[in-house]
Amino acid sequence: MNARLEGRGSLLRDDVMALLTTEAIVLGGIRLGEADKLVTFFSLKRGKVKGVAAGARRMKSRFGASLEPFTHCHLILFEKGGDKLGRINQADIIRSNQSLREDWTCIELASQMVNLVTQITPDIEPNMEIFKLLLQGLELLAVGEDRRLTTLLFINRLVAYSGYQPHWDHCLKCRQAFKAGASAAVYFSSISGGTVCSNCAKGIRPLIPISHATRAFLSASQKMDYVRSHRLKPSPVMTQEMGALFNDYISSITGRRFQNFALETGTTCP
Amino acid sequence: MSSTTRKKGAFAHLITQLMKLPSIGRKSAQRLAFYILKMSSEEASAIGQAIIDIKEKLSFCEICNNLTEEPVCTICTDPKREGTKVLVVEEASTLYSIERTGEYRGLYHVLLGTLAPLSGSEISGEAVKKLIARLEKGKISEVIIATNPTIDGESTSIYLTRLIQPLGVTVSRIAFGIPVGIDLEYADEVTLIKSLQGRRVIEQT
Ligand SMILES: [Zn+2]
Ligand SMILES: [Zn+2]
Repeated sequence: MNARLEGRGSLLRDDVMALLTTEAIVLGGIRLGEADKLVTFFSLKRGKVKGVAAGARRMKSRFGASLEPFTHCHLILFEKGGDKLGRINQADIIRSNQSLREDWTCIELASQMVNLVTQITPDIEPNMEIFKLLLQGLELLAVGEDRRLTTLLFINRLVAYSGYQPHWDHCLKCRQAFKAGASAAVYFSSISGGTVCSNCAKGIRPLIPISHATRAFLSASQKMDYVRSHRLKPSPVMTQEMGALFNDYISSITGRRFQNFALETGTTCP
Repeated sequence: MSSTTRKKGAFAHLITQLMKLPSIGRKSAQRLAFYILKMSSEEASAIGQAIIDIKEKLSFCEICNNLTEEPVCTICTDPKREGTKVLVVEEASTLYSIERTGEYRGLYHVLLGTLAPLSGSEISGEAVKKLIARLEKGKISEVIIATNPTIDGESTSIYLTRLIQPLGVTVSRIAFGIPVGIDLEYADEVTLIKSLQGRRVIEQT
């Protein structure tokens, strides 16, 4: 009897159980068991968290549409600690972002945003900047001024906020600052996470050539507020260069092939 | 090998096999294995035989992908069904739910999956090709899309609509809204909006 009680005591110490109440954005979910859902969120207080919504796929489920991807909600999650999956107690919609789930381009671009956050962020590590960025990014997609630019600017900021901020303003080898309007080519190295000048490029492989205009765009847009940076309009060539750069960079960060929908001219839907 | 270790090996083997089923963890598998162990040989064999039978006898209908013991399912061969309507579902299990209502008299098409933009997975091209081939024969005038009201179901619906509409076939989507029997005040925002969008005029009596 005593031994069992002791056992329980130590169990409680190891497994910290707590009720988490936070704002969160639904990153995605998969079916679990007969009628449950395993949902991944990016939460304000705890970063990326997962939880099981019991009976979420059933008729008259109390979760309703609150666990659909892109939803901004108030989440109450019962965390069980360790590797155990938490249980979702409640999720109330703050902003449903339903329009993002009804248009092909929106589905594609918003999926790309949440997928990138899912892949690039570690579990249970709060990041206020990423939370705000994702919230804003989805909102801007829903308003839809220039959705592909919104996504591109999102990616540029996300890598920075995730701790993979590339050096855009100087060569990472010789530290020399790039001059505005210079004509010599610049190269991006995904492995080193930054740009190198043409002098230093020799011997470094693989490299992705980019124009000075693209480098300047990436640098300038990051220094501006996200919404304001939409005023910068990249040319189609610059967009293409950034596409190639981020495809390679994100693939090297996450270790899985990244396909940038944001920069494709057409969509995959007929 | 002694008979006890052989038994132990067989028992562990059954648990491992049962754990391959969805939502069966080690504990549930153990519970089921113990239950099977206590069954009579006939009862246990019947379960085993039923599993063998569905693999040997059941296949997907050549026309609609419904489960069938014949090359073409009983719905596709039924002359009393309305041949102008096709209801598209993700899985055969939805087809059975709709059949149970007895309200729908048209035909079906089972996709055996959905587009999943979040996980990047694609719908079976085979099932879509089969559907388009059916429509090209010209007999079908309406396709009712009854994929789930989730992002995957919705993406699939958009995708199919773009493929089907150019063929001159009417595409409709099942209505989304308030489940019968609940208090409206508990319905979430999206469900409420969807039910308003899908409202209908009450016919004059
Ligand atoms: Zn240099
Ligand atoms: Zn059939």
